[in-house]
Amino acid sequence: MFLDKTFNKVKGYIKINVFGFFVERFLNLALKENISLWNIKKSDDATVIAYANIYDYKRLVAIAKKTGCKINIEEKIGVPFFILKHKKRKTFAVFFILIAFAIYFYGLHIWKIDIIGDFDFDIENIREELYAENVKVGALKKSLDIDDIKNDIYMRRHDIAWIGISFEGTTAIVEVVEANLKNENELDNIPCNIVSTKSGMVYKINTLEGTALVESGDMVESGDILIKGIMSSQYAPDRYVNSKGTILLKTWYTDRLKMPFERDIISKTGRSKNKYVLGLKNYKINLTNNDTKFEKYDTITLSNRLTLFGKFELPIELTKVTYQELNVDTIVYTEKQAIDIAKKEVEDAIINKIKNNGEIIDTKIDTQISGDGVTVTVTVECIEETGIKQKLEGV
Amino acid sequence: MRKKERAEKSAREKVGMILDMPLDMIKDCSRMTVIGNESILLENYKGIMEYEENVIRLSNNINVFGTNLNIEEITDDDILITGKIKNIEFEN
Repeated sequence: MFLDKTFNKVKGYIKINVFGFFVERFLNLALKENISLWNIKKSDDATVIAYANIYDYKRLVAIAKKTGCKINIEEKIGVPFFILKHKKRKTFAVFFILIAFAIYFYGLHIWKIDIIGDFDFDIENIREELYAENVKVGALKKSLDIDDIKNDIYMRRHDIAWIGISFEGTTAIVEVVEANLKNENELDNIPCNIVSTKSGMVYKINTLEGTALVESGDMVESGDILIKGIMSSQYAPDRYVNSKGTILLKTWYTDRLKMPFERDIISKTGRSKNKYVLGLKNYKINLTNNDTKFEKYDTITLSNRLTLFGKFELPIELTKVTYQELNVDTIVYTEKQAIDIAKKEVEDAIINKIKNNGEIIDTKIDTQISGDGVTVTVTVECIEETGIKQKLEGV
Repeated sequence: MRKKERAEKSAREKVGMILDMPLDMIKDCSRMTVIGNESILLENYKGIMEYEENVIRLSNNINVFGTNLNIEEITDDDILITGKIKNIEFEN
């Protein structure tokens, strides 16, 4: 039914008004001639209102003449009449078609490349690879042979295990899975040294395999060999082994902070002002013209690309600039308070640096009071495990 | 002539009865589908005798009474009448 109506609209139909004493005869004759009529309604006087297709109108007039009825067109509905009505508006039609084509044309291209996945290497790296394969903004979607592109990338990049390219509207979605090249099993079977990753003093060394080059109390630098993968013996030739062992290092971390007695605390007052800017490539149009009158403020800029139907990106950017008023309070600390705050801040910073790798065994705090503040130096002594396997060179 | 016709008709009926065909196919009469008091679909109606706002008389002696009667769709065989139907009458 709905489809019928739409199809009729495209073909065009008319609402007719038949007046006469023998409208029944008119209807019967029209039906005999296979003229389709619908929604026939009789009004109180001798008129009948009906709908008919336009191409039947001439025949309807002939039948009306035969039956002695008067026929009038009340309304013309449909596309043909619309075109007739707007025939003179050529520019409109031209631009309408042009825009329709433009939207279609734009839909054929890639306008955004989304790279998703969990990988360590730079995202720009993948972008370059894709660019080399012609997957770039503005490329025709149809011209890309995805299997070919994938193969080429696999050939060039061994650190990519899998790559998937799919299109969602004008957005190309590239999924990347990184190959696990850090093959730890490999290092477990070949001769290798254990080297230090940190600087410090050797606290304890426990060698399971290999020759220890250091002992407790030795100072080591990052990169020094701790356990060598060569076993020497008086009675046998040198033997290359896969070193094993645990090394505990005593390390020191020092941090210093100068804490003034007067400190500015910045807080938001809660008052803010919004400004909207419409950006079209390099042009910017201010939609709201209110510059902030705040004395101190934070500026938060939020840019949003406008999209059509959620997928098709327009080259229009709507930027919302929010000014948030700030309030500056000056707080004066006593000597003790300043030291406490500085101590806590420095300690937190150091603990953050160590994370969970080590155990803190000693903390030394040194305070030095000068005219306008206090300098707090914190030295933390901790024990950390170190050592990483490194392939033995020349084997 | 008439006799022959009658014989033929009965033969058709018989065949229809054996084959379990619907009555409107066997007999030359119309089939009516009534939905509430809102619409009637008449198949095989033959023609319109009279069309007023409150009555539609059809050539096969069926009269539909009501108010605001519209002929929503009409073809050579079928007619769909909508409106507020009060009465369906057979003239025999």
